[in-house]
Amino acid sequence: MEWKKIRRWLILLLLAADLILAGNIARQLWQQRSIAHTAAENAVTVAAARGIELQLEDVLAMPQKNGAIRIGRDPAAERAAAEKLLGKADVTEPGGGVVIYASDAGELSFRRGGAVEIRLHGAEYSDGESIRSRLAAGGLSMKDASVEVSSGGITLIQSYQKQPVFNCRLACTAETGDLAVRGRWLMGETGEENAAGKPRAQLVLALCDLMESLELRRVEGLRAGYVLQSEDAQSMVLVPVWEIRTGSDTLYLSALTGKQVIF
Amino acid sequence: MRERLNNALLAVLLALMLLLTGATMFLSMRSSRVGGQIDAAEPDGESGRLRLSAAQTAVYPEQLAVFCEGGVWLPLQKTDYELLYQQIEPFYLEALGSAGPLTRMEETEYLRRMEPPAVLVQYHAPQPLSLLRIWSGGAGTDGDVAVCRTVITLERENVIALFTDETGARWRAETVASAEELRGICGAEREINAVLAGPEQASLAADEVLTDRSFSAETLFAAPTEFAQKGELPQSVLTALGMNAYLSKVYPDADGNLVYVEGRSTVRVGREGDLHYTGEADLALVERAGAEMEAEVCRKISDLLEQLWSLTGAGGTLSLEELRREDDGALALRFGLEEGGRFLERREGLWAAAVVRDGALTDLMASPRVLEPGESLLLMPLSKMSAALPEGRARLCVRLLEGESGAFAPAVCRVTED
Repeated sequence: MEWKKIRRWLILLLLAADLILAGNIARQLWQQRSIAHTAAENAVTVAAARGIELQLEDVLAMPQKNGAIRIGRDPAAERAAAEKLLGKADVTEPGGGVVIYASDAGELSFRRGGAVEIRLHGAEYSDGESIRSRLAAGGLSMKDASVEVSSGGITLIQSYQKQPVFNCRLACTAETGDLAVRGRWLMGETGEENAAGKPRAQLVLALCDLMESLELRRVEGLRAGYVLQSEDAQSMVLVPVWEIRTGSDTLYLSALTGKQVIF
Repeated sequence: MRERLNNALLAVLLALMLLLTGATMFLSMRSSRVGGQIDAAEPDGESGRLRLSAAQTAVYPEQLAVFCEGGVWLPLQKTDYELLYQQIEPFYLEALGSAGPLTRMEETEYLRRMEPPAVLVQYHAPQPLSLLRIWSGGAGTDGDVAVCRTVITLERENVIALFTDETGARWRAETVASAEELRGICGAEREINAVLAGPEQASLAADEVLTDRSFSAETLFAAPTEFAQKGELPQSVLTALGMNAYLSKVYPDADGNLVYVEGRSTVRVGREGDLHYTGEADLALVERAGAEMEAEVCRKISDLLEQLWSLTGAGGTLSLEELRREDDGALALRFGLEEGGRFLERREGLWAAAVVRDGALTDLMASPRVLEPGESLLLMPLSKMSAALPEGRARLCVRLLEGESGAFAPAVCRVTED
């Protein structure tokens, strides 16, 4: 009997404690969100005072923080891709992080920073989907990749965890009966989070500095994504960036340093 | 049954309470950081050049130039220099690392190849090509040359590297770097602002790149670091040097310097913040020989110095100037300091130097300073200055020279082989 009474009281006390803790957590989360929202609002106000037109909705749509991801080169994936695309191929490694595969079916080279060049003899160059399928069958990850068709050719654009990797693009063209693919593509799929980015509000101020230095005034749109940068011959970093569309230019701002990134 | 349910409910509520308590503490710790401060990877001073891991080459160029269809472009401002270096570094290292055997070139053939698309990299001091190759992921070679200048250009759709050594001799090597990448770098729209030295600049080599318009350059003031002003060395600096801050004894010496001693290691801290370490800090070198070992030593020392610079809040970037093997087998390294491609020349003393013996750092000298911008000075075009040069082969460059007031003012320097 005694134990039943004690248990009942314990249940009531624990229930109350859990409700209080849950309420406290909800309050803290709401407070953090509110602080971040207010910081973004203040930053947009400061931007306006500096003569930079920027929509608050665009800023709020950006991640509060986005970290860098280090990714090692995946020699096994590169070899497997070469085998699938070229069959049995000769390999040369002349140094500088370059690995070249060559067979009667074509040539394939992997370079530092995710750079890749593919030439497939007699391969069909038709539409973006068939090229994407061909490369996917060859082992290049096409998850969430998008296709752009222009007068210059077909371009595949890579995404990582649903965010675009702005400089990971493969330009596909037909050259003397061959399919030529050149650009940068991430072969390794997973990486470790390495460094946290600056908060959104700080990036807005950095954006203002950049716009002022380039004598630009109006931001038409923002998009979060990554830029793949070479670290050394065997590793790369996905640097979180903001894509800033100004109408006349498209700029990229590193979310780690607040400085412009070009590629 | 009811008993069991009640007991289960009790257990669940207890577990939930522990979970919610942990979550509350975690959120409290996160939100206690001041003003949304975050743990970002340390950018390299103000340069924005993010170093997430070991330095790749331990040297930075003094001059970069891009040969475009319309002419030559020199990045004259710090931001332009850093953005260009960020853009070309992977391609340049790919070319260096994959460069094949060297063959001598005639001057006329070399000059004929100085056409777009091409990228020029000029070093502050001659660098052993074997070290550059190893840092770039290639192999060191015997019969090394010391490279002052590299031009990466195209020859019939193949990327080649043209080297100029410290004697002025020209060398050629084939590479497997991407021709498309080179075209991409040189095809970007740029405002042409430089020319190659012509016949009227007889005292300069024909491949010297000279600005053809006035440009501004900033004066820099080198101020003592925060720790020098406070008179206390951060523990993190001692840790970086392999010393234990809690076991080190500290006392002032007769000259007023602070001396930290732990076992056989000492760090002497001058009033201006100059550091002098002596001891036997193990560099944990991997077993290597010859050029591979030297490259590893340079990289480790460069990393250590970069760490010290970051920990002390010093400005600029250190770049290897000289690597010398002493009679007793020790390696002596000397570093210069650059900011945006412009090297700072002190009136007295070095920026950093180190001696490595049997895999251990036995001596390290570093002069970390905070660099504060001063007024901008307008410099006249180098192409006009060169007409007034005395006889004798030389090259022109812009460096920051320390004046009597301690300010580093931009000046055009005439650099000769000796």
